Amino acid sequence: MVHALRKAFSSLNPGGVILEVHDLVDPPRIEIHTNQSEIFAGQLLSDNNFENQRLADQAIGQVIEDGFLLSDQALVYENYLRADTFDSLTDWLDETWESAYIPEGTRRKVIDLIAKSGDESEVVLRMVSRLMELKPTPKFT
Amino acid sequence: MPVIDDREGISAKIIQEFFDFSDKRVLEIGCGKGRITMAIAEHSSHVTAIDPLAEDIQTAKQNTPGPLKGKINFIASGIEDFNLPEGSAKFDIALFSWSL
Repeated sequence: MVHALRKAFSSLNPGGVILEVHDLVDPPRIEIHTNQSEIFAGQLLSDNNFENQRLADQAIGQVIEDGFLLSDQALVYENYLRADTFDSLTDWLDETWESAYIPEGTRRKVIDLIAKSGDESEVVLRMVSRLMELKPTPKFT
Repeated sequence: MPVIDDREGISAKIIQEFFDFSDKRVLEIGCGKGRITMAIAEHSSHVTAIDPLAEDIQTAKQNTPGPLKGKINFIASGIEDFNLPEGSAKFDIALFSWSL
């Protein structure tokens, strides 16, 4: 990952910047939304403890510590993924996010909440992402 | 709607509010199916968008609206294997979208 940052930097004009976005290590929230309410059901967990996000944080920390890049500004914001049914969500997870899993207690709670909420409900995965601007330090410009 | 992944749409909007892409040459690393690519291409000078998944690159090319086709160059490649095409100018922005 450090190599990827350096490779990207080598493709830039003088004064160029790197923008990097990834999800924070915090586990995403699983919520049931209806027209009237947003109910927290539990968290999506990862059997590798969100290793990719952790490694991305480490790589950025490393290039900053090495004095190669500096963080100019950063923004943390919320992202959403919405599914019409619980099965749709688990199918999507199976296809795109192998390490993610929903603990059994949360699974039961989601199914129960959907049953109580009726057809108008949707399952929402609420994630937090960070966008960061990285610039070369003066000695590398 | 089985699943609607709002992440790229929300992020495309946030990224453009966060940074001025006007007249910038952009390298997007990990472009996937090109949703963020197309959003930023509207405002930038040119976008080179790379992703190691050739299938996603093919989908991105097919989904690109006509007016943007001349502003985006999709290439199936990871950043480690990517080499600037000979004679091409360097970039003003490198964007890693969930790809570091």
